[in-house]
Amino acid sequence: VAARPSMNRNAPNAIGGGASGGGGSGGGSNNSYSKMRIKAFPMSMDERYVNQIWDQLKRAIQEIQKKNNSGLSFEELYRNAYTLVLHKYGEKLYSGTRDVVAEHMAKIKDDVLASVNNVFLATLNSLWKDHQTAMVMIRDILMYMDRVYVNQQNLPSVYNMGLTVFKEQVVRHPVVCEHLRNTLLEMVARERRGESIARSQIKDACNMLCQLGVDSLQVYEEDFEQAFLKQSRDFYRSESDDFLAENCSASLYIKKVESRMAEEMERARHYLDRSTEPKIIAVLEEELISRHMRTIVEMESSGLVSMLRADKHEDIHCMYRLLQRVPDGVKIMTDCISTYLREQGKAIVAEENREPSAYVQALLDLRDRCDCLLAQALNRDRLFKQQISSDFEYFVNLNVRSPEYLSLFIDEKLRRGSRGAAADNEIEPLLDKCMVLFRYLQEKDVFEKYYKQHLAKRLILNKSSSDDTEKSMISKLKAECGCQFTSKLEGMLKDMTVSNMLNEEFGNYLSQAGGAGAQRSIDFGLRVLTTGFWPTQTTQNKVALPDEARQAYDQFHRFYMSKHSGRQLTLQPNMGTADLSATFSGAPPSGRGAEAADEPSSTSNSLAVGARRRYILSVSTYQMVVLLQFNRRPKITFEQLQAETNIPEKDLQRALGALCMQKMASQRFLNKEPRTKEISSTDEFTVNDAFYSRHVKIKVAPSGGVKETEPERRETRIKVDEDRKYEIEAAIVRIMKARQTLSHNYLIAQVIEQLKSRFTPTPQAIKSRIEHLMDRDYIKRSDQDRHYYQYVA
Amino acid sequence: ILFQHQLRRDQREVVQRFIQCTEASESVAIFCLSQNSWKLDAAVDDFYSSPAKYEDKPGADTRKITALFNSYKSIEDPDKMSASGIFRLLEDTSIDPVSLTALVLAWQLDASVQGEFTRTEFVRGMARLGVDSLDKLKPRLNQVERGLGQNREQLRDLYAFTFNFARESRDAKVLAIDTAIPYWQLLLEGRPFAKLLKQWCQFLQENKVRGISRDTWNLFFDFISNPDNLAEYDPNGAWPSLIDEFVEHVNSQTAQT
Repeated sequence: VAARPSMNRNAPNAIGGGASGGGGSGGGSNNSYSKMRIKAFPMSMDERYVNQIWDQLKRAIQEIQKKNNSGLSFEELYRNAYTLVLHKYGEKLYSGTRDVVAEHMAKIKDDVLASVNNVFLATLNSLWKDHQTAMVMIRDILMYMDRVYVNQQNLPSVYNMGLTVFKEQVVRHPVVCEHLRNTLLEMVARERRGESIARSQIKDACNMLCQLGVDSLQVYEEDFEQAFLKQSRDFYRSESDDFLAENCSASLYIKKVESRMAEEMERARHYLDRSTEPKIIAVLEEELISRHMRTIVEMESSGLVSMLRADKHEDIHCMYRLLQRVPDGVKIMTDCISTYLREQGKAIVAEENREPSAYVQALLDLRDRCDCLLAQALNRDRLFKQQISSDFEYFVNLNVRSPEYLSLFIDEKLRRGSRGAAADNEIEPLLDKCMVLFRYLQEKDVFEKYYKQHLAKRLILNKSSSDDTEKSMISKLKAECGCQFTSKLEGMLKDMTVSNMLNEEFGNYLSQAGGAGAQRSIDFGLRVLTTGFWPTQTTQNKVALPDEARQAYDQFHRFYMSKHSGRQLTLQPNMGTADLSATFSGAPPSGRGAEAADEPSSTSNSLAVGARRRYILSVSTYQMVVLLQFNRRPKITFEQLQAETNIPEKDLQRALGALCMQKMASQRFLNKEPRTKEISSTDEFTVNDAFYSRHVKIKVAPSGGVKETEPERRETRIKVDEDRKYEIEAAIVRIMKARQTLSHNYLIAQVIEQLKSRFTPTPQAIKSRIEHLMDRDYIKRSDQDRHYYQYVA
Repeated sequence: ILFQHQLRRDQREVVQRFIQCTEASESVAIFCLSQNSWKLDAAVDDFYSSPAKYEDKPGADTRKITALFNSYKSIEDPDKMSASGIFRLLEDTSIDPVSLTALVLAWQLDASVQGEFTRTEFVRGMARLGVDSLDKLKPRLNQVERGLGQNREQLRDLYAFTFNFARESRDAKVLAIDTAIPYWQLLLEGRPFAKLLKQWCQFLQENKVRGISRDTWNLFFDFISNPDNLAEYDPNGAWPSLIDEFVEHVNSQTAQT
């Protein structure tokens, strides 16, 4: 029977069975004997017999250790051990075995020590392997002891005892221990320097250390890992310092760190214990990343800012991957990006005299870049997203004109025939981007004000490129701010639809009525606008319309009143336009005019000097009123005009300005005397008969879409502030009505909360509104506590 | 010296319970409670331990008071004493018409309009004061006036009364600054807590503040009567914005010096 452990598993069972049978059937079962010899089972054993059995076992163990196990009978040895344990000699067997192993270890130790300067690791590994094999066999022989005696006494099993002895005698021998550690570290260091080493030897040694700890990794950690981590820390600390001292670039450093990380991970997986991986990675993270992250992020010529400038998203992504491993890493990056972004944004919003469309386009481009950056480099990390949003909010609101410019930008995109009008398939995504900017605006009510103005112009002047796009923009605003924000805008669109129908019906009405004064004298259309929806300032002046227009209006008035009695119509000429046919007969001035005449132009009106030239002038209603005055007399003063037309002074000035202030004499419609830049009340106006143009149709009235002048802006601001007062008061009353009694601070917080989707009121503004409401007895201060207010029904 | 309708509801309840306990008259109950900061237990103790203090006032003779009223009443409206009548009354009792004493008289009579006492106001008020002859009036008023120094609640009551009394008409929402400042001086000047009064009046004049709302008027008393008003001032608190601005002004001045 060979003493291979797995071969004779049923033997112990058979014998055990016999023993428990109370038996006299012990003894040898050697099949070679023909005659059965039955020995009486020894009830008690004498010392001599015990020693004899033990000696047998001891010899066997020694033979095993010498790898001389071929002549041994596993069964017999097993039985011997069984007998000893059964007769309470377990202790002798256990300690004896330990002594034998220890003795052997002493020899092994000498072998190892002898190899210290030679093939140390190989020797140690092979001796360890032999020892393991031996211990497995010994364990099998002594299996019964392991099961019974060791279990009862709570001792380490034979195998583990063997490991412990090996550890104490061999591995923990001071010389061996130190030499082993140094050898391993030296090998790792060599590999880090790029040399190739015998990885399997390290792997075996590490394996050995792990197993020697029995159930824990204590031996591995104490004898190797701690020193390994420390050595690594020192190595990487000096390596990173050296590397950075050489003025390398941030991206190079990051690449280096990444490769080092991968290397160490691979090392840990391949020939160290798995538990080392997170530890060594932690060391690397600390030494290579945490310690230097600020340096690499802020590197002058190659840090994060320069990467951002050059849109090096891949490099930024590498940096992000690295820094997000360590605490505060992402924070350092967000801070840096935020500073950069704010600089960029401030540069855009601070630039004076930038055209509104360029201004908004620049912001949109910056936003696109940020989106790109987020998606390609930053994994759409939530922290970056938030930071970018708050940065945008910060600088977009630095410039008070942002709401106006954004509205102008949208106006340009939605206006038919404007330079920047967007193509159909581009418009939706563009509007969505505008909404992103809109979300950053703190003063949404100011935007609303401008948007209303611009929309009104688009609608009334019939410049809106598409009804559907207008509606889609409004629904976007509605989704963002609720229907209260857009109800008037929607009302405006509805007015337009109704007006179109009205004009059609009016046409039918005229053709049906026929004859008797119902003849259409001029071709005209009216828009019926609901008061309150539209931003137009209502003029009280009754402008004196020319007769033709007056008649037409009266017709419409009659028609409208027949449909809707009880409604009131007021004429608002300030947004109207008119096309006039005009004839100029004077000689065009020389110079510019002559030059134009040189060209062989096909239009008849550019020909001979003094020829009558007919033009169609597209003007505002006010300008129409003014120009038609010249049909009656050639020369009129400003004062006369004002008195006869009843146009408000400012509007009259503006209307005249567009008619007589052109640089070229040939481009003016009217001549002004004296020829100053301002229009004063005594100025005289005459028709400029020398007017000349290459085009037949000439547009005089500006079609809107210009940014406000400073005084206009201030005026709008005042209006906005005025509106805000009402909104704050309404909010206060709403809240107080619901809550009846409320503390000051809570009320302020509630008001801000309610209004923040439109604008952010200051606590001072709210306070002053509270005081007004107290004066007007809507609320009062509580008698019990002056920090509280009460609603007064 | 408070009148029942000027009491808060909780105070009224305490008064009722005090009367149930002691069977004292209402005016005594109010007086005693107001002396003991409206604490029922303390007031009852005080009532029994010093009976002399809380004896009912010697009942003023209503007929005498009516006669007194008649001698000063207006000719046009016999139920009113007009400004000229009041002037005569003050002259006869040698009370300076622009003194605190005169204001205290108006307060005690609970006059609703400046320069006019109605018959009911006068008769009831004098009876409450326990005064039925001219010679008793000034000493009694001086006694009340002295009490103001000790009793902050009474002073506050007089202060709040002054806003209603001093404004130009019943509908006026604000007190003109030219009216308000003299009254502040009358009410607060020389009182130990009113250290900021001078700065306040200066501040109002420098900033051309025109009117003082009732809320600002009332809260200014709370502000100025708090000894730590500047140190613990909370600009985000419920103070009227005028006081906010004043505190900022004072702080910036102290920062400069």
